[in-house]
Amino acid sequence: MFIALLKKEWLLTLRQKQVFYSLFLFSTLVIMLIYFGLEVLDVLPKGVVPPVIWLTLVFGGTLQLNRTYDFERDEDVLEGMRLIPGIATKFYLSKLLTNLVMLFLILLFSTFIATLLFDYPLMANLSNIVIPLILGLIGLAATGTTFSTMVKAHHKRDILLPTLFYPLIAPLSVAVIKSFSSAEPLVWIKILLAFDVIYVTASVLVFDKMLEG
Amino acid sequence: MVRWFIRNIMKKIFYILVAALITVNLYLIAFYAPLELTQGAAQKIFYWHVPSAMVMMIFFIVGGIASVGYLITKKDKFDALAISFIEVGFLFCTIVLLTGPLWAKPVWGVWWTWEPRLTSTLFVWLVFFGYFILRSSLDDKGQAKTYSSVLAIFGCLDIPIIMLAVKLWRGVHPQVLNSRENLPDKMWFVFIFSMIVVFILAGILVYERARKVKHG
Repeated sequence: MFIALLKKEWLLTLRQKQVFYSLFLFSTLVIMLIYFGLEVLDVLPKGVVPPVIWLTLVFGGTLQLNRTYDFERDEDVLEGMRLIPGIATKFYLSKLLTNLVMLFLILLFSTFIATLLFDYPLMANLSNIVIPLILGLIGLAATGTTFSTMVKAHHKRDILLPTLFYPLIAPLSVAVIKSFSSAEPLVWIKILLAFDVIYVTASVLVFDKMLEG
Repeated sequence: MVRWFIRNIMKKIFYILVAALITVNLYLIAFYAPLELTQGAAQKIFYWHVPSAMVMMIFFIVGGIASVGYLITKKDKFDALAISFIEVGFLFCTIVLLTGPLWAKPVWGVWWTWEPRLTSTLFVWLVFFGYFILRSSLDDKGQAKTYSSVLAIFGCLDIPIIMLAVKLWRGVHPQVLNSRENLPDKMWFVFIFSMIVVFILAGILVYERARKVKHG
């Protein structure tokens, strides 16, 4: 059933190519705007680039996370889903996996654009930034997928989703950004791991209750 | 009827007594507790600041546990408990956030500093602010209860992570009222008195809020 749900997600996602273009364009614009904002500094420190990539992922990711239930919003699809016994966890995991892949694409694209615009030596720093970014991405996707369930039917969900889940990912953001520059990144990576394990587990545990409404 | 009347009168007498206790507490803070040598009058904020922080933390956790109870049983009494504890916890969280800068301005010279506990409290305050936004945004009452319970649980799970992350980020908070030995007897007495008063007041607020939720 999980594979069928995943197939459905990707079949519908791939049909909306303009969403990919919009997400990539949005990410480029965020990076450009941050660059203009940082121009007040005479010398741009290279250390700002990984946090810029993370912020772009958070902002671009929010747009994607808000779309999590686009395919189920009409024609009471969710009502039908609820009738299938034992679907909750598989349904949540299919949504999470789709968001993970979409966020990963945004991350790849943002890293490419930021490297280009900031003239960032990516290869030399790759080992320092990959693990924090990936762990941050998992935490972002897990909380975002759960919270998008709460606001899925709300006409103000564009405002509601970031309002609800940005405070929750504040420690995640602190940990990701600190792990880029800290002398002891392992401490921060452990926090990121703890965050991911706690929130993925908690999301799986509460999702069937959320699906019941 | 007679029992209801007596209970109502007793409750009113108790509330008047609590109001008197608060007045005595404020008097003790202002005139009985000695002035701290380096911080001056600003230190007196801590007699309410610290107990408020304790109420905030305990009440959010109790609210989170009640939310777990609601998700498992779907019984309204757990939701009433959760909203009551979280609302009162949020009120005391706001008191902590307001009194912190009031102390920081004369002592550190700035209204706001990214000091660990102040920052953690701000994060927690923002998480639970979302709880009320979510609850009031959803028209379906059943959904509002379920989703806000999930948010409360996630918020409570976030508290230790916030505390740890911010502590590592900003360093260790100066311990002002951390042990009996650091305080003169008069200060210790007023601190314990304030703690009892703040907890009684918070308990009354939770009781009244839960009663209001129960009776619609």
